[in-house]
Amino acid sequence: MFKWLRGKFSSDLSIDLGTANTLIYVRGGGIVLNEPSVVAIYQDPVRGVRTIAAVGAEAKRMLGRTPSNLSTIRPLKDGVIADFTVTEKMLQHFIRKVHSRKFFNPSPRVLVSVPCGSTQVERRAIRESALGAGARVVYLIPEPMAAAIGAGIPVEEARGSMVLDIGGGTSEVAVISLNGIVYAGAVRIGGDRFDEAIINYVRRNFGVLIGEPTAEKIKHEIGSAYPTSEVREIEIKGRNLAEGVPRSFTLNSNEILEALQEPLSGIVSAVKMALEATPPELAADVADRGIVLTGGGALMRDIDRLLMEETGLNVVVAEDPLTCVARGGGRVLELIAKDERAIDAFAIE
Amino acid sequence: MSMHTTPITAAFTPPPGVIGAYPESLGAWLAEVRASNGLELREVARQLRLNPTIIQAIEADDFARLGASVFVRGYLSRYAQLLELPETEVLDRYRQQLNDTQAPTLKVVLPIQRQTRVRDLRGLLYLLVLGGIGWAAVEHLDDLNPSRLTALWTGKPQNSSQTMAAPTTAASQVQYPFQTQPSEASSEPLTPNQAPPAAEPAPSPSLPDPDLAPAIAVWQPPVSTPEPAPILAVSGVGTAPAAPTLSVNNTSPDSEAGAKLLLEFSNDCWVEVKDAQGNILASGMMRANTARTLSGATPFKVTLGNAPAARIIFDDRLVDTTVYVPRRGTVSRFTLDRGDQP
Repeated sequence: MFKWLRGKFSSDLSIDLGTANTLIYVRGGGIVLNEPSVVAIYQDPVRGVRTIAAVGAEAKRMLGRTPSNLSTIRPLKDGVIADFTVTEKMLQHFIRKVHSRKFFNPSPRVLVSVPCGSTQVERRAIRESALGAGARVVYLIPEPMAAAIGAGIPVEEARGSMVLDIGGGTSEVAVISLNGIVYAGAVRIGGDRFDEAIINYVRRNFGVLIGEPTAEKIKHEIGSAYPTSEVREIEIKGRNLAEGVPRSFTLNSNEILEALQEPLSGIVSAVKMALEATPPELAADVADRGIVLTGGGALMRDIDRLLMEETGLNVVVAEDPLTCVARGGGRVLELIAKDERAIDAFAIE
Repeated sequence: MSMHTTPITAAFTPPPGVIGAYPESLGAWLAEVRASNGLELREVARQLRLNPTIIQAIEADDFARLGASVFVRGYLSRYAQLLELPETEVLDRYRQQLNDTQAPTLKVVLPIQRQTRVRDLRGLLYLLVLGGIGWAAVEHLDDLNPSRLTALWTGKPQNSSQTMAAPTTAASQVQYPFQTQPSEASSEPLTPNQAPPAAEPAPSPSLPDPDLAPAIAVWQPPVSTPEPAPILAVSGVGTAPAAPTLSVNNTSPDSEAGAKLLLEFSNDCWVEVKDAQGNILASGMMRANTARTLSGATPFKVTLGNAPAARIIFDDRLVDTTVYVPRRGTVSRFTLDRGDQP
């Protein structure tokens, strides 16, 4: 009720509802929120009522460190909603956070980027959760398109460009020309799979169990996708499986490279498949200009080098790859503000 | 010779904060470093997996030819890595040289819609609606006349009072004879109400006969029914002779409108007279020693502010003061009608 009135007091938002991080871009204000997509839930031990204890960075600090009455949830998995109610609550929290005015509950127009590999049911869940969080209107645009726009690729040109968005849950590759997606492919491999691979590798080779945050730290510090002469090391503590006590040990970048081989090859094969499926004219354009890398995965050391060696094409990492999707969505919002019909060129549904 | 060059290069430092203050442009700088490393342009292009023309364009500072800045940044950073130059510095110099760091404006090719035609039709529709309203207003301008509107407003209550009044008049049989002037009365066209009843009980002319029971009976009751009857049935006592002929006339509707009312005032008096349709025939203050003649369809609904000052002649017959002068006060409301006898 009164959504229209409340809408007058709300700003249009572009939301990158990612598996790992949620970013919000406010039209005319830039990126205003960049928080992990984590929610901490408190369960009342007597009544059994579940309430939200923390959202975002605060909840992420609790990850893997919670007592029995607290649990941390990552409501998104593989780029889509795994827990509808918690996602809705999280979005509601974030939308309120970016609106400083408290008098009205905000009811903004929201543009959400969704993985192009998502099913209709998954997209509907995203739309419903955004509406449930108070959005007045929800626009859905494909994530690779938003990433390409955010990276600054001239998508409206009659020229093919390939964009590879490596996110937390999915990696999406798309060939874009004339504001449209010519080919899109997605693999459910992303930052989470890298962490998982590191955890498995450490358990298997060192007999030590480490948590998700530790695996993420290893990935950020010494993770690399291509062997180099420079070898970096990191000291890690985990629980030794055989002895059952915490142990400290050292990992180096070559070991991590080995651990990441499997997920990385999955991404490479997705790119190769995309290149195979690209129409020849567009393939020539891609060969001429190269592939653009976006998303958090693009920050992994030498991932561009790996793709360059594997595909034989030039690979370019976009400026500030983490925020590309949200910024791209923001630019589409600005276009919509000028002419409502502009969304028809990008919208999925 | 080397004595000259070494101190200069060693001493040279870019001014603090200004990166673009190098002697040469970015392209020239890159070309120079490449040459000093002994690398061929083709070899660089092969290692960077780029077209040699792109390397040429970079070295000629022809960045506009290379398209979007996202690609140029990628080429430059890779080139810088190859030449082992500081990547950030190369990119900063590129940004300075580019001047505009704005991302290219997003353009959307909207499908061509036949919007104009629809808009034209909409305009036509508005015009039609406006025209219709205007036409209706002109057609019904008369209906919007204020006096008619007030008549419509006040008409209903009046009619209802009249319908209420008629039976009472008939039931009470209260009749007030008027001073008749037979000659004039016969010449006057009479109302239909009056004639048919008059024909029956008045076979003889104007003189009060013993036979004329109604008339005489009427003559006494003013004492027995002293109430200032607000409703008056004007009996057509003296109209009998004319009755047979008039009964024909009675059917014509215009005789209805022929009733005449003369009001004379010996003092100031406020008057309002309405005819059968509720039209206001007179309304306002009448001065002392003035008279007003009105004509219209009976019955008249009369309101007098100062009833004792008035003298009423209805259809050339003087109306008895007992009819309209109230016992208390001066304001009087009554209806004047030609006698409808049972």
